[in-house]
Amino acid sequence: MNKYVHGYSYDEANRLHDQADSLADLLHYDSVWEKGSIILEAGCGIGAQTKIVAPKNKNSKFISIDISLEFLDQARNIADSNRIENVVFQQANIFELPFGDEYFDHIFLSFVLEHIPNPIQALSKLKRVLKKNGTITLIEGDHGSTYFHPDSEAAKKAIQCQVELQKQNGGDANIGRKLYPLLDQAGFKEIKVYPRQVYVDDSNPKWVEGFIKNTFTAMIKGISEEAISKNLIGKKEFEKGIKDLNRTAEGGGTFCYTFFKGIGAK
Amino acid sequence: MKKKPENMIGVGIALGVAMYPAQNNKIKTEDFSSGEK
Repeated sequence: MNKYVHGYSYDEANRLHDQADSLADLLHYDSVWEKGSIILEAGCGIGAQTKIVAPKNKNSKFISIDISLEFLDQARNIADSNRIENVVFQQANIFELPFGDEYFDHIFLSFVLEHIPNPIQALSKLKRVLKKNGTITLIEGDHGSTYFHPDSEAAKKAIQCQVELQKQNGGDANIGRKLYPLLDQAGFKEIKVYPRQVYVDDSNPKWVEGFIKNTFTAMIKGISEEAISKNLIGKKEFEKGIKDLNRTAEGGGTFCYTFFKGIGAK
Repeated sequence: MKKKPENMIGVGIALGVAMYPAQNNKIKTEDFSSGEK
């Protein structure tokens, strides 16, 4: 069975956490399973996380599924261009998994439950194909964990528009805080949840560019048209919110966001 | 479940876009009628 810290001591895990200089390090420094594992990556999307995790587990085999053939094509391209050879991509629906009972040693999902209206049902379906004592690993964000300096009501309102739109699509942008109860209600045991906080200030320009600007603010900016057309916010207030988010990426600004990594055993 | 690319919002999608802008630009030009994610 996969133990959470995978041979690391608690202190070692904390040290790696503190030294993480990229989001991939922060989320995946411990995404390592024992050699020879067969691992299901459910909802791989374009393979952005596959590209990080598969090379860390070269002696294990991944079956990475997604319901979208278009995403899978992109995932294959990314895997091929990175010479990743231990992943098989397959179209499949999490709610109708085409695998026998207890087929996988471990299961891994990144940013999937945030899109699913019934995450407990999804976890229960996944549990069927997991071997006894095998583990499931979940990684999700939580927009409610966002705070920054200088503070801004307009920025917080713009972020809340994204939360509302994701909710209207059947998802949950604040699901990170719920990983423990979700795993518990789906019947997993030995559950552990580990917050992974992104904290950005002037001392780390790579995070300023990569996370505040190109990821978080870009995400909020991307919903502008829909948020305004649905009267969730006025155009001027939304634009001020984006301006204020960008301000946090300038001199003297700081930004915090917390991801959650949850692990449970069958 | 029918979803179009513009419906696919979330921090995971945003991370993918940040990592692979070219791949995601390509996705956004295609019809996504059968994709759940």
